[in-house]
Amino acid sequence: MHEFFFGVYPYLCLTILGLGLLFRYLTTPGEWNARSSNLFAKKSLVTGSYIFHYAIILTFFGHFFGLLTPAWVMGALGVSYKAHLAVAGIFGKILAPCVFAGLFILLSRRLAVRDVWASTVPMDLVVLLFIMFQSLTGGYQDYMGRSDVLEVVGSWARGILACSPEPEVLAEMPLYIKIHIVCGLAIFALIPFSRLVHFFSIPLAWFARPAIVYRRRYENL
Amino acid sequence: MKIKAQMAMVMNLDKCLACHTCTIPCKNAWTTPAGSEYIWFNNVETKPGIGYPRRWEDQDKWHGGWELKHGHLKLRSGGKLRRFLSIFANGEMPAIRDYYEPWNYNYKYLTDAPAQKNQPAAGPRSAITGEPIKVDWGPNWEDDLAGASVTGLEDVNFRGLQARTYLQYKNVFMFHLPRICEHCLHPACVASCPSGALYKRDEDGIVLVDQSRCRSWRMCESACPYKKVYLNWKTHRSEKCIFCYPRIEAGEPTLCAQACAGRIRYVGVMLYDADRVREMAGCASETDIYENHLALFMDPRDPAVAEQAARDGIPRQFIDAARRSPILKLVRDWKLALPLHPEFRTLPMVWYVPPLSPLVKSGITNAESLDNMRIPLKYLANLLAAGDEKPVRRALERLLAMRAFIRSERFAQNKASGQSGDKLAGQDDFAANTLADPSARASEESIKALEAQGLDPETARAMYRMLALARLEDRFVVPSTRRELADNVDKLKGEAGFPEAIS
Repeated sequence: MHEFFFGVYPYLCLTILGLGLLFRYLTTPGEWNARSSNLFAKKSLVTGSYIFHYAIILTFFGHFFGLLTPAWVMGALGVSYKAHLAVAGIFGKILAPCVFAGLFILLSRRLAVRDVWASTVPMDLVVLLFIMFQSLTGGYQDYMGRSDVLEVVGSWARGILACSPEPEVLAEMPLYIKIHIVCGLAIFALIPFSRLVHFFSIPLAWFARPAIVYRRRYENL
Repeated sequence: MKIKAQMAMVMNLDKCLACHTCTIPCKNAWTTPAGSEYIWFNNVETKPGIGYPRRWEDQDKWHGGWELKHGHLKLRSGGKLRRFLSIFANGEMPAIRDYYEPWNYNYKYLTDAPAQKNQPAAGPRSAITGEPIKVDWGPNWEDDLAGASVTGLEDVNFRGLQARTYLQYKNVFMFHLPRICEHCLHPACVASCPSGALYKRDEDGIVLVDQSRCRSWRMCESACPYKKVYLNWKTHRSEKCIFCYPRIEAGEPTLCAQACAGRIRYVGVMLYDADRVREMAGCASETDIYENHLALFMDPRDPAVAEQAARDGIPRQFIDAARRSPILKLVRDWKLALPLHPEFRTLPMVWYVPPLSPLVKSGITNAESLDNMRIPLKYLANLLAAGDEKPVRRALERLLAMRAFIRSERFAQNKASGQSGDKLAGQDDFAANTLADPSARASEESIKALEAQGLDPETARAMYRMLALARLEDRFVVPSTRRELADNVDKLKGEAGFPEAIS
């Protein structure tokens, strides 16, 4: 069981992510969007969405760099494990409640405002609840967690990315961390089947595009 | 110089009576599916009023269009970096209540209701939630000034006027304003789209949303100062007027133009210099934008322009159509049509002939009539010329001079042919620009009035034919796309089917 969840399951999720995105892009390109409900209940969206998105983006980069940077790079940069832990702790303590609060506003708006509810599909709720749950298990680690988690999970995650999974590393980890990892990977697998595809549409090309775009329907006419 | 072709429209407000016949085929063809019920590519508003969505013209509220900042033309909604960092929610986009909550009537209840003491009634139900709602706005809510004594106070076109005075019953005025997407030369919606889904068609200037590239960032809804890009709440993609491009490609006018019972709409091609668009839209004074916009248009009757256009890849049939364009006559030659809110700096391409209106007092001379019309010139100027009365005055004076001349000439013709004064002389005489009796001429006074406006009898007759008779072949000059030249049709034979529709 442990072997499966921390040795096989990550690859399963990443495969679903990759193939799912490809499938989705080829079959229903028109549905590849953020499914914005900005048309309804604007004020609550502005508040909730800003808090949530800024907090979750910082959280993402925190996980990305915090877990995936090898110890020797940290050492070369002169960042001790203690300092790394302190920075992660401060950011985590601020961001986890922000993510939760933002999602709470977004979820309550989705449930309470009748036209937002009418335009909701089940998957919208699934992803909201998944990320909300993540902010709870993640927040628990930030406030009451163990200090070795960062080091252990980091080395496990680097092993996964290096294609040499070491599930036994996580054997000693507390249950909430294991749940956090399993649910987090599940979110990756959900991306192709939900509004979360908009992660992959960050409009960076916008900065290089001219103001007025001209396009031809028939090239040689 | 880089010449591009642009499909354009002119609407003659003098003849619009808000029958909404334009709206019906447009709605039926393009925006019936769930999610787009509230979307009207074409709607007809009554002025004064705040329209649909509520107060769309008030850019202090929506921050639509462009503005001049430190001498540079910028989107009023902010630079790319600011908008990128605030991509998560758009506080400046109109909400559904600003448009209106779409509704259906529960007609089934009329036949299915159980036996009861009172007649069953089919009440309005929200098309979004299905619940009963109180209907309080719509795409033509202020029809014929309904409620305008209250909402009209928020009409920004009263700038410099006492709105309260003009909304009193004895002073009140009205006219109708049919609106579609402006297919601007310098569209703010296109510039605001983070994913590059909105684009301007190179061949005819029609502005479209690529439905497979729209990512629901909804910047266009607020950036368009005319509020003519809408978010479909079911597909979560933006939709807008497509200028009926499948019809245009086939050489047909748009549905709204074809359906217009009052013959107020003109569709044609304009050639313009695409290299100078930004420069011309970015002039210092708002009242110069109209003249700058005019300066962008190229006259295809000039052989040098036609030659340059051909070199820039504009097909022959487009250049031919541009020569005969009714838009060219109304906009550039006669200067009767004016752009809607040029101060938004998007260089719109749906222009309007301002309406004449009844005189508010009797016993005034012709020269005084313009300042004694029910619709204040200042109001029209705020709507069509960034507050500058000069172009509005010129257009209306020309319309008046043309009317006086035609009336006088027709009277003389009728008299010469022995018909009674109120019986119409054959309209074909006017159409052919020949007179049944060349010796029976219009009065010297009316010809002088024409000349004062820089017009001659022949031009006045042409204006009359274009505006009053408005025959189909005069109103619509649409080149068809030579699609058979786009591909090797022999090679395609048997392999080109209909693509699957985007779900």
